[in-house]
Amino acid sequence: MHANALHLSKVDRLRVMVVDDHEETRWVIRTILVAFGVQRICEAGGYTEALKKVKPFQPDILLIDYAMPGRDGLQLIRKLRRNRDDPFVPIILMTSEATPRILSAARDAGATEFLAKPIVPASLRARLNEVILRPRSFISNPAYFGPDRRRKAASWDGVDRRKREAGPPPPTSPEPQSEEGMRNQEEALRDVLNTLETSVV
Amino acid sequence: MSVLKERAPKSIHRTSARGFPYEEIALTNVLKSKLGGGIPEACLHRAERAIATLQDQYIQWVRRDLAHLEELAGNAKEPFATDEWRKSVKEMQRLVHDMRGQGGTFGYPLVSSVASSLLDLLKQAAIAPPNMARLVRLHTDLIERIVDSRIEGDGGKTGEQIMTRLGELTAEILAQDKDQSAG
Repeated sequence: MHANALHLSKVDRLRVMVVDDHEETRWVIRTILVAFGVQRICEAGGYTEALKKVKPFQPDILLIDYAMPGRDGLQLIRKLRRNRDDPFVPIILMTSEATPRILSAARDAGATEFLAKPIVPASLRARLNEVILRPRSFISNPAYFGPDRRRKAASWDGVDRRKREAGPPPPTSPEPQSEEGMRNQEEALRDVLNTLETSVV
Repeated sequence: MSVLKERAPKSIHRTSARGFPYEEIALTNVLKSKLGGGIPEACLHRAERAIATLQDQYIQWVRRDLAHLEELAGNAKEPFATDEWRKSVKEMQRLVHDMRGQGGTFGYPLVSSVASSLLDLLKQAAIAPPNMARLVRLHTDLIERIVDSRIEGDGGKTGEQIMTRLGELTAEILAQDKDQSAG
């Protein structure tokens, strides 16, 4: 079944642009995207580079980091939404500080989706599939231009949608392979704790 | 050519319940048809394996960033904040912010927790540079021990104890900082 799904998928046709000032984060995202089958990936380290590359590359989806030195992710989203060539391009904002204030500002700027850091394959796939399978209509008025936010607002039940969809969170401690592995891990943790216990500041 | 160019949006003019006019633009789902669906679940396992192969690389990144952090913390030469120190703090914030994000990706949430604690401290402008440097060293030493021992996961109860002890040591330094600035 999996092989069939892979055969039917044409993910290699997807064009994704990744904008993040942190080279290692771009590397991680690129690694995941390549494993997903995405072959057309364009990277930019910031606002100016992204604007330079976006027109020739013509991405289907943009992944933009919120916190970047100089002009941040929100400023880039606002600029892209004003781009006459492609104002409707789905934009996923990546942030490790998903506070209500930042999320609200991101929605106002015209972000389509949010991807909470740390980036893991499951969450990246979920967000990409969200924009691929369920594109939203756009709203335009003098104060706002961007994805229609009403659908989400109407379905808001006080529970983070991603948490609701994912079910109970998995245990964060990885399952050690053996009892010996478990013992070694615990011993290492105890060592760290003992060193801290004896620390004098 | 991007499929978005092929989109033919249908626009409908509406009025909101409060009487404000707006335009609703419906988009054709060309992306789904271009790809024949979304990203299959089977790709997920491949991606997880690919990330696992970067583990050693991640440890190297952490070690490099820790060395850079300690070097920046070494700029705490004066008891008050200079322009050079402010610059160092900003750079340290950037490094720790990235470290916090990557810990979770590579299965080191305990590193993320320690980095998160340090990031909160680095945002406190009132801490005197020498004390901030001590806080940085306290946190970087801990992160170094975690990655050296390859402690993956959140560490369970011992992980919680580590974070509690870190909080106590941090509070001691902050109390000393408060006393020094009052004196």
